[in-house]
Amino acid sequence: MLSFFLIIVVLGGLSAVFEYSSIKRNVIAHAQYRAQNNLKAANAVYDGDLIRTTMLNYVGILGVSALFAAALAFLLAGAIAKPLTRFAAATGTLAGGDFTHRLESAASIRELTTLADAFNNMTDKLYEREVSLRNKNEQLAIINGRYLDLIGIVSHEIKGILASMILNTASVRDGMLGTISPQQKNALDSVLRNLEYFDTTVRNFFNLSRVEKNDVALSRSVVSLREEIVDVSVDAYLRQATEKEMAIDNRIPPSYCVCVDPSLMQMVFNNIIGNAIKYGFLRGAIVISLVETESETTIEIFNTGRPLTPQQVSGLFKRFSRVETKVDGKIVRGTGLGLFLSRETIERHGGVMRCEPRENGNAFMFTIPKVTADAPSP
Amino acid sequence: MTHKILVVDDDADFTEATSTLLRAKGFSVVTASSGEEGYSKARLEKPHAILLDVMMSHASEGIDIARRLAEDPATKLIPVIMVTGIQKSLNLPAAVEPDTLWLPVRIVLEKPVRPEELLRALKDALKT
Repeated sequence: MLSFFLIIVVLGGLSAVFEYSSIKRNVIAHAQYRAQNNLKAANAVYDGDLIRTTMLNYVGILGVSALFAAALAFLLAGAIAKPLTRFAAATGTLAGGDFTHRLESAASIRELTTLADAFNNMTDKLYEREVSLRNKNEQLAIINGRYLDLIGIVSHEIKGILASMILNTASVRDGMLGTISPQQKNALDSVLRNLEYFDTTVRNFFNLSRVEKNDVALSRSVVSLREEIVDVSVDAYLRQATEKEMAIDNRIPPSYCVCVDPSLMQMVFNNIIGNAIKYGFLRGAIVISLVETESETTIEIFNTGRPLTPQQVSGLFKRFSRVETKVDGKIVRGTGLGLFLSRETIERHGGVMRCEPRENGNAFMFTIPKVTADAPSP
Repeated sequence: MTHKILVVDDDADFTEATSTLLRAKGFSVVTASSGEEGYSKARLEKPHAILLDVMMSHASEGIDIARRLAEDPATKLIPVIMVTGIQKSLNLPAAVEPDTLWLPVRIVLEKPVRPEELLRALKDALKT
């Protein structure tokens, strides 16, 4: 813009100088011809001068118009660009969450004033909505906190009641309080299965209340994965696996170390191995293995069984999403919390968890990043 | 020889379930419904083993009693088995695991405990 303006000024100046010198020269020549009574030559000079003067006048008018247009464009551009720049900056401020910024009205241009007023109105409304949302979120957080506290208290109470019910039922079923008939044993098997399911549900609710309240801290240490975690889970579920005549093939190498929170990782293995037994086929197989890369360890727990549908997989890790399926003619359902809590735990370790249905079963995989014991939680 | 077991738990139902099982298995059982009562009965009855709950009138009552029992010359040789509703996986600030200073007990069992698990733990504790 500035260079264009300068060119116009220079051209205008040059044409003015040229015109002035040309007229001056022709006035002198015209006077000389008149003095010599050479009217024809004098008229020719006059005519040529007139033509040139006219042309130069046009050029001059054109130059001045261009100059005026350029100056006008420059002023207009300044008058529009400045408010627009302020507008862009205010939009950025607003996007950053600052609702206090307001635009000044651009008094010289009506449309820009309207735009600034509209922007300020919008900011006011957004601020009101933000305040309202913040208040509602705070109220929700309070209600959620009470709800989680309640879940924690109720779960703890129920756990106590279940402890004596399970001990009594198992004592009778196992014949420790006297001989029972096979029919009585079958009935008590069913009672105990339901009590154990109830116990798992309550335990998951209790864990949920703590995880949701961010009450479970990650305390990493270097542990031997097979000996300190996987074998413990396998032992804990051996009775259920034996009842379903399932073979558990633990392929985790001996003394293979990972840096995890051992008790939380135990919960993950308990959950997935427990599911593998619950949802696996009678006389099926469970294979626990790992693949190692430079940065992480991927654990895979595979069980033979009915492959999950894509729809079941998509909701698998959501809270309260329960997979209900028939295994060997019996309906089996989950609590809708175990996998949610497992995935939360893996993510807190900086890993990811997923499920891969295969031709003859399902594989649950999760990664454990290689970190040191004092690494911060992600 | 009949082994005498002291069951210390404020949950009357759990105490009864445990006592019934243990008596059926030939043990003699003494019960207490608080840590303080349990400590007194441990000194008085000289049981062969103690089953001790953790959370009673306050959150760490069982842990406090376990320490007192371990410090008292009259009771320090009695094996203590802790039976608690606290989940080990909850990752509390201090682990609920046997430790000479923090938690001087033989083993920690998590409720709900299965009968065979309880009897195995008792058998192991009485062996030593």
